[in-house]
Amino acid sequence: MKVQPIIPIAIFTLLVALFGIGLTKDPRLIPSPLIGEPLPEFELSLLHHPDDIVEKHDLIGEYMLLNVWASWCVACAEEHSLIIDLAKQKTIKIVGINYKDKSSDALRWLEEKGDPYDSTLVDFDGELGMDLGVYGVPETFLIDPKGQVLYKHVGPLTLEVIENNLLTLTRPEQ
Amino acid sequence: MMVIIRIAVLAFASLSAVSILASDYSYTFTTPQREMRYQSLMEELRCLVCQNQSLADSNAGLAQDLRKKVYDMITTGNDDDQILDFLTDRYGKFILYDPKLNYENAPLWLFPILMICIGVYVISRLARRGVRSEAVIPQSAQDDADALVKHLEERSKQL
Repeated sequence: MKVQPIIPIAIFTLLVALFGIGLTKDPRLIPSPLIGEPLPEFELSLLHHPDDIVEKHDLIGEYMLLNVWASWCVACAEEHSLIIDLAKQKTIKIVGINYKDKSSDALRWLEEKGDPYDSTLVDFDGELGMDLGVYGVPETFLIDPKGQVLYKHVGPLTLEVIENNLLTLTRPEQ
Repeated sequence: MMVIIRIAVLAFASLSAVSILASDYSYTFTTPQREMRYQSLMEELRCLVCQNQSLADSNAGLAQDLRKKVYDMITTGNDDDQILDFLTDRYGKFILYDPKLNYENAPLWLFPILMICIGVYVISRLARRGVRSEAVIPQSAQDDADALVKHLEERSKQL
């Protein structure tokens, strides 16, 4: 009786296929446990009006993008022009969260590059960032009118992500 | 020359001393048990920025924040499960270096057991086949034996 060579070859092929699939995935992308969950509560001051405190219920009620950014974040500058373009279309409310940043730096950054945000909240000590599970700025969250997190994108936005992953979720299904 | 080197070494040593003071490892705990819990949590939590480092090893900003959070939670009397729940609710199970058995990782936990079972099965099959093939006498040995038997028969006839 001969040893069947088909079995080791099959196992080998399966492993190669599994590793191949593994190589195409970005290990930096960690699935967020926040998807489908309500946006965490917060009380943060506005970047432009530091005396005004904004809470979660002040913001929700329509679809909105929460864009976590900082002036020290290089990749944030990369996506910024796309956010400005999106803001011009006025299709969705965009709220900035200035994450662990000096407000003076943040204000100068917005002045230089343009301010696409309907409002910008100051998360100086990263409290909301921690509640949102932020681990690498920029991160962008899509929030539905009820205040639920629908989608999270880690890293700079691209046109494809904005169109295919974010805006499609805000449109009623046909 | 030696003096210059000594001064340089001293200057370097004092610089590194400052950097150690500046790090956040100088948390103080009210009981040694709490400090041990803190240390072991640091080892079993992953830094999400530099993913192959634990929170204890990493100097990323996020790791510092999470160390502070864990410290605060320990000092305010939270137990380990509460701390781990807090972190996994926000960052997912990925933050755990030592995740417990659950539906998602069950295949990973059960795969070695499956492989051992397959191995035992294959070895037992091979062993049984080995016993059987030992019973088969090679043709040359069979020929030798036949020749010997024939030879002995002839000799016994001659006697």
